Amino acid sequence: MLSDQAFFGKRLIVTLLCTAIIFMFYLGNSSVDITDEPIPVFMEISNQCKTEGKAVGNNLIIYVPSEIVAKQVSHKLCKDDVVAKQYGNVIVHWGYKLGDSVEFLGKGVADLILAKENIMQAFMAESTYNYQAVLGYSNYTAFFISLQEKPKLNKLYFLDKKIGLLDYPTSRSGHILPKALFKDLDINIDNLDITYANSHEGLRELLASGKVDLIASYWKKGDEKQFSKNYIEPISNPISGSKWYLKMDVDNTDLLCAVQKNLYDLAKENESTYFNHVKLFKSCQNILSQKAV
Amino acid sequence: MLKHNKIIISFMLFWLLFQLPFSFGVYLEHQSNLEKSINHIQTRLALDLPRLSLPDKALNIVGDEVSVINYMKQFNLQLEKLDYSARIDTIKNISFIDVPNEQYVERILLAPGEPITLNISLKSLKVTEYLSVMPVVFALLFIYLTLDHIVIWQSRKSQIPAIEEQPQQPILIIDLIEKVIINSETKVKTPLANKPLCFYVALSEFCTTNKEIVLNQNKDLPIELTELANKYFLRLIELGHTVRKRPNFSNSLEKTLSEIRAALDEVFIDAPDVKEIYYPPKAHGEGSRSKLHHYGLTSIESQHIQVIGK
Repeated sequence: MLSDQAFFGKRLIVTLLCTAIIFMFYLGNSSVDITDEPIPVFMEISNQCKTEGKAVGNNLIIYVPSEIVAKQVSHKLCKDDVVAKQYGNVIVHWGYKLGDSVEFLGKGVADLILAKENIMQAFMAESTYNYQAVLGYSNYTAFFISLQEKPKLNKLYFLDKKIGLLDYPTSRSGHILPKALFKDLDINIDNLDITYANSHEGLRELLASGKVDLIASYWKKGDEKQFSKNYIEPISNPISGSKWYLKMDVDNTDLLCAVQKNLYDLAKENESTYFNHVKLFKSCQNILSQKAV
Repeated sequence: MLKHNKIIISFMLFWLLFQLPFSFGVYLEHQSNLEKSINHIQTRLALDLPRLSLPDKALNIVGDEVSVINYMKQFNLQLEKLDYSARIDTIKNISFIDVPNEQYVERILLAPGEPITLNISLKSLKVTEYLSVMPVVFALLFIYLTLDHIVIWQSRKSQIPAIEEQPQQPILIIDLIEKVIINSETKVKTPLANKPLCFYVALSEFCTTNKEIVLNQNKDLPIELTELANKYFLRLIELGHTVRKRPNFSNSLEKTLSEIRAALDEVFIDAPDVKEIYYPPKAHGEGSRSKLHHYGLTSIESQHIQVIGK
């Protein structure tokens, strides 16, 4: 045994050892998987579904601010016969940003859009693109809601109060109307202690936790569990709710009626009291009732 | 049993020698992966930024915390699919901690307006990922290659203590400058006259190289020995010890040897065994005139003698 091993001299062994050490380094280096793949786009901002129709080139473009409602609407309309006759695809976009609705509405990109009346008016979209209201949610009143006393609508009352408002300027009950009231009362808004929230729910949390003294919002069913109905004060007359608008380039009444019917069904399926109290516009009501008869 | 222990120790050393570069390689690659992941995360986030509702004080925007947290959850799901070791934790103070990690980096995206700070937590590798069977295989291979070296190394090691137990054997130092002979261990010095000194140095040098030549009082001295003795006498003159002409070394040889023996007796008083090496043997038995008598130093070697001032 010793005689075979005499072949491996010290010099050879040291050379092999150095080579082996370098080899070990590279082996370790290559034993880890390289992760160098770019992260794909995973944020969904739109959804597309195919109808059973043959008009492949035609797309029905819908814009809805809420993702959940957007998916429900596109799902319903994709299955509709009238939509299938006229369109090959239903594409629905959603987004939480105000800018998005401006693009879709102001440029007339969307065929069907859920928007507030004040925005529609601001862009004069009814006259520019002939957007027609199809269905609207019920009117509501804007209130100041307080936890411990009935709010008073005078200048002195507001000056030492912490007030919760919404941070998006398109909201009437949570932003426009209270600020308009402050203007009427000659209050400089910079002098008020205003805390902003992202949603009506966020406002309610602020009030319940005592971070603000009063908030501007609407009164909804279920609020009486947290707050007292005696401690609310209306800011204005009832304001109209959001409406669905359909772009009527041509007098496409079939589509109007189909859309109205589907939206009406969807509203009835909704558990929320606000969303299942709807008002129908246009004469389709008659058409539908005639059919029913 | 000792041999087995040594092999196990050598194996451990080899294994460590291979395992360390392996782990270092793994570590470096993991770090580079993390750096790449962080860059990809930053790119993705930068592209998605306009769609995120992040707070912005300048525009009185509170931001939608729930949607940002949802975004981060979806983001981490993608990272998990791609096997990334990094996870996004916090965007602009909106934090979402799923499984807290001990290690995280903070990056700042310099967006127009407010800079966006984000925390990315990093998973460190498990200990098992730093290990591999290859260093073990290589260590075994090298144990096989170096087995004979290991065996030698062991036996040498076991011999060393045995040598150390023996006291150092004294040697004889001959100092031509001081005209003394010295025991290297005990430092005992004995002066010697010029003639015996020269003769003894020459004799010791002659005997280390010519062991087979028999030196007998009845015969003439060999020419080489005389020459060596003369040479050392010249050296003594050079050193200024004498101005006399060189003596005849053949004359009164027995007296010269006696003087040498007497000096050696003194120097090696404690070590009679050692003395034998240096001691010109005395004639005894049937008579000092015996033809068989040899007064040369039979067992002397060059390492036994050190000459100073040669």
